[in-house]
Amino acid sequence: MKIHRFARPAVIAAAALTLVAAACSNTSSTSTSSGSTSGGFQGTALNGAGSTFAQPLYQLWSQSFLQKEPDAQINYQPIGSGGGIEQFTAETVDFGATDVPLQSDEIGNLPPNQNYIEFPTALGAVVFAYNVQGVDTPLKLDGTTISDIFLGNITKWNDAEITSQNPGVNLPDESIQVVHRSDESGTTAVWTGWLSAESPEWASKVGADKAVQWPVGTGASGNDGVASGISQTDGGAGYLSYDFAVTADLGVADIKAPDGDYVAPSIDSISKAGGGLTFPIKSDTTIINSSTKGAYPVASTTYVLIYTDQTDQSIAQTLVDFWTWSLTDGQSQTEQINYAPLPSDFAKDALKEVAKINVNGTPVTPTSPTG
Amino acid sequence: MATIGVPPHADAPAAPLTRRRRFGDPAFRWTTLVVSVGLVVMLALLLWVLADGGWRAIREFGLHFVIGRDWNPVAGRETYGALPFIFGTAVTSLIAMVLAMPIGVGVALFLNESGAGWIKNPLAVLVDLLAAIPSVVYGLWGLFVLVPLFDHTVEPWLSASVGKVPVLGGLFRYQGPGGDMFTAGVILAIMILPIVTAVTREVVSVVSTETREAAMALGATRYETIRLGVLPTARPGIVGAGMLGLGRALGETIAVALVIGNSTNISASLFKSGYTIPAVIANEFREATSAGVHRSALLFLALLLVLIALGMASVSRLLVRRTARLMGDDVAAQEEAASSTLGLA
Repeated sequence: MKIHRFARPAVIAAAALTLVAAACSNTSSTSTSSGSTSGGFQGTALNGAGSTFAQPLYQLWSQSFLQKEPDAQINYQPIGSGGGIEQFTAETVDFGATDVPLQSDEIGNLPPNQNYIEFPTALGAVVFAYNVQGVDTPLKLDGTTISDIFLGNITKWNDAEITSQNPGVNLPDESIQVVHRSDESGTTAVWTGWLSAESPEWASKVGADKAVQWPVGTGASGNDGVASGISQTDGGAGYLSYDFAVTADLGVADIKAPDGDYVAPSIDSISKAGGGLTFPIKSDTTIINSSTKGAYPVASTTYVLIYTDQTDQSIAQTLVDFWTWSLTDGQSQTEQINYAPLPSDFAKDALKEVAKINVNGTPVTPTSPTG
Repeated sequence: MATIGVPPHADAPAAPLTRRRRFGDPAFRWTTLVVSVGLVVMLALLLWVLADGGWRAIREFGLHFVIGRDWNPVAGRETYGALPFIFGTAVTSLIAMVLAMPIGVGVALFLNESGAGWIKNPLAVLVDLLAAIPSVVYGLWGLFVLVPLFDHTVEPWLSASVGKVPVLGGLFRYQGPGGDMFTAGVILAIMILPIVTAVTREVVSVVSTETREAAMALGATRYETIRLGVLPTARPGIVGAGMLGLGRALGETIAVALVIGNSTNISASLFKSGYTIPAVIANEFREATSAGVHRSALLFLALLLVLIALGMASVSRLLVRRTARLMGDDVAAQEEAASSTLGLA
């Protein structure tokens, strides 16, 4: 008995050591094997900062990319889009990431003799999530109805504005409990931007930004805070980032597109919303209410900012390699974590932007052609 | 030490002692002086940074910032009024004080005065353990346990019973589900309980045996001894304990942000969602850019919070000293105990 008790830590320690050893040998073996496939260039560490929305995706991509270039450690800080633009402006990061395109005053703040590229990397969406007992099929809602809910004009689930769009659905005489984000968020910016486009009353009373003065409801921090707020509250309703909504066990509404169809959010319908994207990205570029057939209306994208005139050869090479890979092979990985890929034609256009990166005037070509 | 030869036996310890004192005392005095001045400088720098950062908001909104009720960070229609946050901070802290003071003092008296027996040590340890729980854990527990419990049971019951009382009832009018100021106040009460209890125990334990014996000698029961002898003597210390608790309640951030509902209401009902100064700073600062006045407004709020906290600390000092003076010189030890515990925190 006594021996056993003393032996246990030793066993655990031994097991841990074995694991560590296994992990080490694993990484070293992959690095040697992939080192040979990527033509010798091992990459170098990159620093990026910005959008919290993009963080899970960039993390996944950077891990996968280590198979190609084992030294390309991408240190991405999800400090928010505003912070990403500030860091990019201050030239303290190798790339910045933002959910909102650069605005004219932000472009004015950039270092004067620097050219930059701005390209989308993946698509996402914001969904209307709810917790209503006895409703099994997705609710169908249009923009006016949803903005009326968030304005406090509609307070009951069995309001005529909701029931008229959902014949046959038994909606209870229950108050709608609105939950919104309390922290500043790109998700809020997309959601309020869409509400402003849908409802003149919303546009004049509230407007669109990363945080607004909410007419009704309670605030919760983060997507998980909003999701738990909705699920805890009978009659709860709120908005969530799509990648989060699929994992939360909540009702998600089909939303009326400009052509009159109700569209459910899915990887496919979100990807279609990117159909109208073109270069160059302008400060008012948006993929809300896309005219593409079957596109989900409340879709968004996230952008990367890179200065084209680089001075360090290995940083420039890794930047080009990583983003080229992300826009080609990496696109197929987006669905693993519920982001939508860019439309393939548009991804090819984005590659042309990446190709503008140069070192002291000499263009940088990707190390190993992919795709 | 260039003494030649062996010094006389008696002088041996004396000489190095005076020497050491000559160098040691000034060195000690200077070190402590530098450290204390550094502390003051740090506070001044802190205030300066906040005032400097908040200057834009101060210039743009002035007094309106403190009395305004609109908090709108939307670009192009920015307006910042902090009244809902000041209100929420005051109300939640007040709820916390009302709940935690009687319980904290009661627990302290139970532990120290009632001869609690076997339960004394486990209870004391448990109360101290409350202080060791990180505030984010309190917040999560509040969000997942307390909020639903209050929504479905406590608040409907309170509004059906106390809510019927004419004037007081307005405070307990049911507002539907979701986080609210009352839940936040209860969480805060639990969080400040350990500090109130610990400081009260400390000051109760230094009440002189003579005071107790005098009360006993007059035929007082144990309860009367506490009421007539112990409590009045310990009052300055207990006030100090309350002020320490209040200080923590005012500044608590994450636990409150998780349960208060984060909306800018000013409502008579405690069951309405609200917002506090620390919560709004934590929620909005991360993504606030310096493009508009938003970041500046948040820094101004931080300055306001620091000023409120400094004001509370000064008032508590005054209160402790005043009650001590009123009590006469028998409580000199009390004052010392109270101010030393205040100083410790």
